[in-house]
Amino acid sequence: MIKCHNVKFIKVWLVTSLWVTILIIGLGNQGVAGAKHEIIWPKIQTVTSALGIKAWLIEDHNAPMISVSLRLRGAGSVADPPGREGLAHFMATTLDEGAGNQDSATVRRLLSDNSITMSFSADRERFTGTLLFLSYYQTQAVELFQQALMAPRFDQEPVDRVRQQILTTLKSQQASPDEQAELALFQSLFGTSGYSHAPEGTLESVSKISPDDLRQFAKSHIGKDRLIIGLAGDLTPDQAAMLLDQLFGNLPLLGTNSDELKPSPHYSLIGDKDEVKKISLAVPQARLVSVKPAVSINDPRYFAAQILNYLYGGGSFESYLVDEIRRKRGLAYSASSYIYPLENAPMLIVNVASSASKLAELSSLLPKLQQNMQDFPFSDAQIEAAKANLIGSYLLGFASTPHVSARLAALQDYGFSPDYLSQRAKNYQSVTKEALKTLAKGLFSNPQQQTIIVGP
Amino acid sequence: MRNIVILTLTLLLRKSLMKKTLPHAKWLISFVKLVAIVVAIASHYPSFAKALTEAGPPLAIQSGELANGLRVMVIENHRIPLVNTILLYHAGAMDDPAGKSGLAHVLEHMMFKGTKKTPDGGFSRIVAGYGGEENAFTTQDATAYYHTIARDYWADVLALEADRMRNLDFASQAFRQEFTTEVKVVIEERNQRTENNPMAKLMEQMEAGFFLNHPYRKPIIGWPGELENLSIQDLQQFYNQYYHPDNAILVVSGDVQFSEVMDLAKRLFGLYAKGPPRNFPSYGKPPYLTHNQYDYSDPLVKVPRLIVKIPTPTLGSSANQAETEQILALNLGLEALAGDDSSPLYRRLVIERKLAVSVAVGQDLFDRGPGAISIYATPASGVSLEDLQNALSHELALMVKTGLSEEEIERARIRLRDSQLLQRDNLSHVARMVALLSNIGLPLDTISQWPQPIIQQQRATVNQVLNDWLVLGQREARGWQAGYLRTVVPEKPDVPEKVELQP
Repeated sequence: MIKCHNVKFIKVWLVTSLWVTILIIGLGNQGVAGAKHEIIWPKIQTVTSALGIKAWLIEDHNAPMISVSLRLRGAGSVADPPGREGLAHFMATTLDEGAGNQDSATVRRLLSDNSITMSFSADRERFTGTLLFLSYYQTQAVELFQQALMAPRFDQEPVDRVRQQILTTLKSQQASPDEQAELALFQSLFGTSGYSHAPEGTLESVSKISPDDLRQFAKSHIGKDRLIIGLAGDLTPDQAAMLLDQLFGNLPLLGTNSDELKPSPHYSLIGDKDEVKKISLAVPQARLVSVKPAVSINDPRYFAAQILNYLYGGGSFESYLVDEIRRKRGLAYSASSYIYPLENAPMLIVNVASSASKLAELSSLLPKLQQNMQDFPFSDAQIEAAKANLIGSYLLGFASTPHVSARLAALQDYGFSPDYLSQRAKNYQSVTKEALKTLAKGLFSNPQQQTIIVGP
Repeated sequence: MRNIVILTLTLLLRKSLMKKTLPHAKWLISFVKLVAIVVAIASHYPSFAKALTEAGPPLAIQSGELANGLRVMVIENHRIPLVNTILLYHAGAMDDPAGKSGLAHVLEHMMFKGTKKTPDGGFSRIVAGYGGEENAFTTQDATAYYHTIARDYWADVLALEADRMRNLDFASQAFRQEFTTEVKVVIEERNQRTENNPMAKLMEQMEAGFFLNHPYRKPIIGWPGELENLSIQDLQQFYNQYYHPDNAILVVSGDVQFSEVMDLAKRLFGLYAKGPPRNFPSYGKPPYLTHNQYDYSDPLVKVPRLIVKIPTPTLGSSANQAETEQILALNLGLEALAGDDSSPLYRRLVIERKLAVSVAVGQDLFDRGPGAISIYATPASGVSLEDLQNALSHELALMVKTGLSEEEIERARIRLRDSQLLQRDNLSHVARMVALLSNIGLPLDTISQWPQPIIQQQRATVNQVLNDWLVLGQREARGWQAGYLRTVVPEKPDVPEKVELQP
């Protein structure tokens, strides 16, 4: 349900039958090797440039391409000013529409002619950027990316065009049970604080955002001292250091007056008992979303929580929810759970899509399943299988160069150290059955729960 | 923008259905453009000549064939100890018998339900236990099963894949029970993909009319009323007819050696006999005498959309080499005309005339049966679908009349070449490309050099075929369709703004 806000503009495409592939980035599926032989992980190198900009790098000269992933904390929709909801997202989606002395058409044309992927997005907590290019376009790619960050123009024409696209998206979302459920959920949990609105904003707020708002937001949130950077591909550490200065060396320092330093919201409004909200939408298939408090990435119980989630609904075809809801009863096509690791409001989210006619049966089944979860209904073999999956599947996140750089940026963002890849398996292996039982009891006996049902 | 992304998902779902929903979290979408190595390079791209020698070699595909007809293709990539495998059967939804639409896809679901050796959902459990990822998809043309897994476990999972090629346990009590629930699950899948989605419903209707004499007119997921009546005997019959080594290809991409793949394939699949002879029916191609409009209003439509479909042959259905060259030239022309947001069509409709919020163009190439050029456009607020269609038609006619310049075509060639290099970075993209191109019978050297056949098309041909296919007036008698997805209440602009309808 939580959307990928970094899809950005795939404005036009030319397609053939083969044209779409779906990649999954499952934050919940982070892991190392559970193989017969210990997997030799590529080495994470830490790079510091002459100007003091730091990044993690995985060097890989197999293909002539370089990927840069960028994260800026506190620059997500949590920082949108009141009345300007959607500003962070709007800024990010318009950042590649002209910079310096090059207008939108020129930039788009250079990106196209040099096969450069440059995209920016903002979710609730952070701004992210991606740059992917074939090595022989490095000069052009570097120039476009650094100009976009340094001197974005936000000319009226592209701003209005992007505004129309965002408004169109917002209107489409009105008929989407997923989007409506997410919107209602965050409103219920966060009241008027920074997480309560959709990152894309509202029809009203987006209509009001001006080019000056966008300029101001970019200026006050994109700074050298806020960067979290992952690099992967065809470059040595020395080349990486030079690249960092070329890309980011001219960015301003923001100092301490940044949103990054403000604590992010807590879900202070979650009820003491299960609260259910119904939203009427005339779709044949209803959506049920339910949230309980979980543990954050920095909590020592995080790895146990991931195992528990895997067993509950994260493990795709092997999970308790799929087994009970889909396999045994045919009540839904999809039933899943995951941990959404908002910094101060980590959540365990359950998401089920089911025919309206089956909602009653589903609604009475779910509390029983949660009740059973308190007693941790899993065998040792299931625990071992969950651990093996969580450990082994981490390799899947390294299947392409942009996967790798994005992973490196995320690991730094969440406070892990560069030896994480080789340590990760141990973190999972050392979780005991007792720890899982205690955690399950704690999470599932907690009466706090917010449920949203969108359907006819 | 997101709305386009939603649209592309819809399209994907039309093209292929997957066994299971992708787990929650985040969806990233990338477009697999097939590309290869260019011959001619414009001199004003100096970086290019250098790039060509560095990035030039064709994709290295090694291949072999077992005595029983199973074809094996291997693309070695030793960057990380990971392997992606696809086993593709040359049978899909178009092979569903009359009155049994949805069968191929339901069988795909049931393939995960167990054999005597690995009963009761063991396949998924074992793969998950190894930290692997498995799934399957059904298209009109094919059913494919794939997994990505650490190389240490690759052989174990291939053994499971081989086992279920011939040993699905239709007779067991568990299988029968699972079948009853799984049909319900598929009906829910239809609800999720189609019934909840007005765009999908409109496209389903359009396709039912678009394919005059071809099974592509039936949806992959199946029509309601037929899904419910499928039986285990139906599935078994389909399985016995099509699930055989000589009706399949095995594609392996990643950290493996070709020789070990061949040895293992022989051991695991070599014991199976060939299946019954495979007949690909030949469908007559009656001429289109009408062009049709599909008008659909639904309370769930919040943003109107325009779809235009123009019939074209595909690489699988083209009548002869001359026609094949035409559709390849058409593809290059469309890339130049509408390949991305700096292309002429987007610039005119979205940026300059502000009549559309988005416009996107696709062409079916890699199908066994007939295909289409599909144009999708979202009108700007306050612009009617009719006005947008007129403008689209007008702009296309103008562009076709002027013709593409050599430079515009060259830029498209470069983009196609580069995107192939970028694609090769991803194990599963490479494997899928090779599998789907093989499925329509393209020879190996064509696949490894793809999209050389597109890139080598010349300007004169490109401009000629654009003129033949894209001038709607001319094509009026040849079956183009327009689909209008409408809101129930006439839409009011929510932001005061000026929209100028230029002549």
